[in-house]
Amino acid sequence: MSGAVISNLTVDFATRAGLHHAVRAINLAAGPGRILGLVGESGSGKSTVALALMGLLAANARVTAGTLQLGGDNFDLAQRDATAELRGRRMAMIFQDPFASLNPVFTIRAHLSEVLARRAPELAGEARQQAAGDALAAVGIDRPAVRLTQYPHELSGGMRQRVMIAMALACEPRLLIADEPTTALDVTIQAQVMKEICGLRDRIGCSILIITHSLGLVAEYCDDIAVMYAGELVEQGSVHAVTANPGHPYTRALLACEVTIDAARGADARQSRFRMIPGDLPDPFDPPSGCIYRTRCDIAIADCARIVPPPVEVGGDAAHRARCIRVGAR
Amino acid sequence: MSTAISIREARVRFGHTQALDGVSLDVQPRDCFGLVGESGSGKTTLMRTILGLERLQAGSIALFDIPLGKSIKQRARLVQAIFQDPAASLSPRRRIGQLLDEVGEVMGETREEIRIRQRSMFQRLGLPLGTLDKYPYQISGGQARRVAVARALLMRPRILIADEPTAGLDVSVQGDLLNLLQELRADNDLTLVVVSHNLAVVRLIADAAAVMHRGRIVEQGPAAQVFDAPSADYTQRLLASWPRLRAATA
Repeated sequence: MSGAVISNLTVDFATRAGLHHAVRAINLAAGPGRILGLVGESGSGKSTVALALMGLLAANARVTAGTLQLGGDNFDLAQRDATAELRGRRMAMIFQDPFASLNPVFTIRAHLSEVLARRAPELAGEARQQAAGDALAAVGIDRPAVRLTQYPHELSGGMRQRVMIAMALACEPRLLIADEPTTALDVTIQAQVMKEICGLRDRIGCSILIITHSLGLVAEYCDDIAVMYAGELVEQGSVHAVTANPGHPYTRALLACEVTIDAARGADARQSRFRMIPGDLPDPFDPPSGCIYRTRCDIAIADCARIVPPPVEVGGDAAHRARCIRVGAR
Repeated sequence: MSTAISIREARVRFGHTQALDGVSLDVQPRDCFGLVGESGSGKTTLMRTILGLERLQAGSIALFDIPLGKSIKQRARLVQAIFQDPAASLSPRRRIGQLLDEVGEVMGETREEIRIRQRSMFQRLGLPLGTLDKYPYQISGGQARRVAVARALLMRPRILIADEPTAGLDVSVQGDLLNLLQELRADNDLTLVVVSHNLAVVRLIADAAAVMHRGRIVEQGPAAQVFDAPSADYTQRLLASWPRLRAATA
């Protein structure tokens, strides 16, 4: 399988309190024409994965190991600027905050022209203008000719995020990384933006990595899912397999905590109670031995403190693996 | 019993924007009332108006039949709020305990009286007493929300408004805060207003709800009706856009 394959990605942060292993030996694969949803809560390290791929980590971070395989080429992520040649060409990223990711002093045309100049230097003048307008039209922005002359502050949040997608589209990337692309947007706009991202996948067949805390978003729009907890990958597989039959107790608990719009509702709202996961994230400077989740796990046994769980196949599906020694034990 | 919040034809304008465009609603005492809508719909403006933080251009608001005029002090005894991002609404330069001592000053209590109430409130909300000596940046997002709840309840309000109580909280901890709100409602003679864009949460926690869009209420009624049998197009569109966990709930 081609697409994007991330192997053994490990990222450390040097902090005043010591070395923080923010991401530990992560393996991920986003197939071509597929959307992989990387879910995790605050502090799980999911955004660090995205920034490590893009080479945009903070100065105190260091990728100690990891490779990215993209379209037959290998990139050693531990090298400085390992993916610099990919950025804006074969790899693009959409950031969380559409209000902060466009430059306020440049028009929309200037933003798109910059991308196009990098992607297709042979296009100049009229042809580039035309391509910029087409890129906006392709993501459902009306009156593209007018929008090109506008500045970011003149557009709504949903429109700005679509401009970001248009810029990504103009790159025609092999791998698109989207970090919480719809978190800042309303739910009706979120649906539109996600449809544009799915449309991008269908048009150019790229691999898409969506980083999100929303299981609902992953279930609705992604093909595959990977679940991170405290810097480690605990489960991955197809969205259908993982949501229907979660193998890891953390995934199971997360799914149970999700408040769904069609949840059973009693006659008396006073009686409604909500699920939560008791306990706290482990201390990053003193993680538990064995399984990273065992301190909050409801089915942990003595062995969980001794064994670092390897990925185990779930439900006879080779693509669905959970890192739990008690898979099937509920 | 009198209506907890009664709003008639409220209008608020900011420049060219009609933020509230003739809003009328009634909240019954001891109910949980859910106010939902997208950004810019006017739900936060409505909440701020109830708190006396925005001036009405026209219309009226009464809390427990008391028409609210200029007295902020009187209003503060009736209604308190937990604002979005409570960590940011706590002064970073003062310890939690110092921030809560101010409640005693407002309530005209001695330092001893308010300290006793602080401690019993913290115990009740499951906050470690050591939190009182911490600065806001030293506590977690979930704890900061509990501190905001403690501050609001120490004012002994009859109405508590929670603005996006779960925004920014992880799904594994948001249930904790929601259950706390549910318990407070059971123990106290408290009317709760939850302002949120999270339809799924409001659907479960609210007895009655209103949906806002462009400064107007497009639908209001019992939560079961608003969320499970909506009549307004806009409500239907909102509910249809909400992502579903199909496989998991199938």
